[in-house]
Order: sequence, then C-alpha cells, then structure tokens
Amino acid sequence: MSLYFVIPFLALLAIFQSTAAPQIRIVGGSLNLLLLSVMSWEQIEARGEGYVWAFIGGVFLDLIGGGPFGASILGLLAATFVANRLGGGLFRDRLLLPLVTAVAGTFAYNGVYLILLRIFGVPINPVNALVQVVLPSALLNMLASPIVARLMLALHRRVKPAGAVWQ
Amino acid sequence: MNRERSRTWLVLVLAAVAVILLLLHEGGQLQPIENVVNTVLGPIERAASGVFGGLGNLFGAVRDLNELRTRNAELETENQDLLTEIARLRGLEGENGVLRQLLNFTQENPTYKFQTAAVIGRDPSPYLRYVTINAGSREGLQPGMPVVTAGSTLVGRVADVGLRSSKVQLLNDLSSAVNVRLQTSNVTGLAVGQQDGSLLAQYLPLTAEIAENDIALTSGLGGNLPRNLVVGQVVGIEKKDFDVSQSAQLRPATDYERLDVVLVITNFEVVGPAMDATPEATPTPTPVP
Repeated sequence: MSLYFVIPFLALLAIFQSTAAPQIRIVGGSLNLLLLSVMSWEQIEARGEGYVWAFIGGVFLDLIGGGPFGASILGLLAATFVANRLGGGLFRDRLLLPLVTAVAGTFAYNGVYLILLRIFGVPINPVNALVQVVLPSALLNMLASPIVARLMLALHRRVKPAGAVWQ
Repeated sequence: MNRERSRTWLVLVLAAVAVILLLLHEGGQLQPIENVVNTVLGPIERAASGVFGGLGNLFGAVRDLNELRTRNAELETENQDLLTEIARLRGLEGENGVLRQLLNFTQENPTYKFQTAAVIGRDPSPYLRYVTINAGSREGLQPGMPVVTAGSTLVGRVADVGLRSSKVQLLNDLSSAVNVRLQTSNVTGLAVGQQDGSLLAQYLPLTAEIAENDIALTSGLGGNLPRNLVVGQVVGIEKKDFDVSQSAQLRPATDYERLDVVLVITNFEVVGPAMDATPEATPTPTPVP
C-alpha cells in the first residue's frame, strides 16, 4: 500500500491513541487500535509490510509520548512478529485468530515496552503493570480485535482486490 | 318549426316569470312563501351540512396533519439546534470559570510571568503520565518550567519543548519527584508518582505526627520549584516500626484526567538541577483501610 496513505492513516491512529484512547480505560489498561491494525495488516498482507507499518506507527507514538524514543517502535515490531508467527498456520480459525493475536500481541508489545522503561530508569513495578495495565489492555484489545480485523480486511480488498485473504 | 317556436315562447315565458318573481321578492310579497319553503328545507339543509361538514373536517384534518407534521419537524430541528447551543454555552461557561480562576491566580502572583496553554493530548502509553500543551519555544517555554493550574496547584513540569508544543510531565508520573512540606506538621519529604496515578510522600521523619487531610505544598528545597504550590492532600499514612521513615498517601490536588487549560511559569529561575532524580521503584503500597 502506498506510503501516501499509510503515513496519514497511522498518524491518525496515533492521534487517536493520545486523545480518545485515554478515555477508554479499564483500570489502567487502554485500547490500542494502532497495535491491532498493524498486527491485522501483517496477517492479511503476509509480506512483511506489517513491519513497516509497525515502524512508522511506533515513530508517531514515540513522537507524541514522553517515553524513551524507540520503545513503541520496538514494542510494535515485537507484536508484529508474534502476529506473523501466529498467522503462519498455528490458527486457521478466522474467528479465533484475531482474538489470540490481540492477546499475544498485547503481551509482546507491553513486555518489550516495560523492559525498555526499566532500562531507562522508570521505576515501574512489573506485577502492578501486569495486573493494572497489561491484562486490562489485552481484554480491551481482544474485544475490539474482530472488528478491527474485518475493517482491515475490507481495506485490503479495496486497495488490493486480487489478493485479500487471511494467511 | 312549431317545436322551435314553442321552445322560444317557453323561454320567454319563464324569463318573464323570473322577472316578476324578482320584482315581488324585492317588494316583500314573496316573504310568506319563502318562510314556508325555508321551514321545510331548513332541517334537511342542517343534516346535509353535518354530513358534508364532517367530510370537510376530514379533509381539513388531513391537510392540517401534513402541516402539523411539517411544523413538528421544524420544531424538532429547532429544538435540536437549541440543545446543541445550550451544550456549547455550558462548555463555554465551564471554560470561562476555569479561565477566571487562572486569572485570579495570576493576579495573586504578580511577580510571576505566565504562559497560558491548552492541553491538546495525553501520552498514549498507559505507564507514563505526560500531557501535550499547545505552547513551545516560540512562547518562551523551556524544560523544567513549573506548570500550574487554578488555586496555586502544581500540575507538573515542562519536560520536552518543541516549537509550538511541549510535553509536561505530571506529578503522578512514575519518574516524577517533588520536594514537599506538609503544612500542619511542617515536615518535608519527597512526593513521587505511583502506578495507580496517586502520589506518595516518602522519607517523612518517623517521629513526626502526620494527620490526615494535611496539605502537601512544595517546599522549595532544591530551588527548582516555587514554594507553597499545592501538591495534594494526605489521605493515608504508612508507618512500619522497622522503617527509618514514614510515608503518606496523597490525593492530587487536581484531577489530571480533566486538565484543559494550564499556566506555565516562565520567569521562575531554577537554582538547582532542573529535574529531581528519578526515584527508585517502590513496593506496592498497602491500601489504607
């Protein structure tokens, strides 16, 4: 897909994360549409384009946020890798795949992000983070994942009508 | 030919009778006959009027119904517009209230220079507590500048500065640490952000008598923040016999989730380092019953 579309699209998703997503919270966890979109795209496209999306999306998140620059990029790349592996044959069920991907990807993204925060000296308690942030985020992402997956599939069919299938 | 002539005569005779009747009516001679006729025709006329009048009302009702529907739709649209306008005005009223409070704060602190800024975004990470404001180096902002809101309440400090926007680290961010003094007990400590968004005042002297509802103010120690800015209020005390100090749970003085407009103090001169050292990770605090 053309970068002329991808860049503004991911920028909008990043802005959503900084404006609307903080309003949608369970305990400390929040919905991450950018993460879900990137992982879905990787599973649909299956040619590594998801990694490019992860990089660009991570750049926008790190520019907007106050954390160490690169943390979101690495977290999204890790989640995209997990999505790539899961979509490679472990789950063929189209209903189950987005759900499992959302949970696994959330853990991967937050795991990498937390490690980097600790490296950069943020005094974060991993147990608290798991209970208060990661698990609620995984739940929210899992609930939204089927919708996001269908939307990304529809987008893919619109952009590339010939090859829109799940991995 | 005869038939034609007969018809002509008939017409002429009838016309003549009509003229005669007209003259008699004008003269009043036909009144008794007219009264009799009206007496007979009256009830019939009334009954017919009732029947045809109902039909007329029915048609009128259908016509009125359409008009009423149109008018109802117009009124609903107008009502919706008015509701929207009311909501907008209420929002302005709230904003006006906040700005008035900020104005009062600036007037009460004439020695400081302030830059007003609106909060335009929040950190997308759930672990970090930063907000983005729409003022940057173009407005004279620099890292380390204190950020306050109404009621002399400290909100945080400017962390990163761009040309037109800046990131503000809130007090309840995990990496934030502010020297505070409890107003009543007059003891000093370090207020640090907690993962749940609250504040914890650490390193308070073990022998100090700390009361709930005591107000935590900036102490000014370290020289990187003005004194006597409100930080929070004590809502719980943690004290263990084997500790060398005690801690106090603080409720932030403002709701960081609802920040809209803030003031950046632009002429406060930092004496010490711009940012306090990042505190070490604290164990999960025990909830105070």
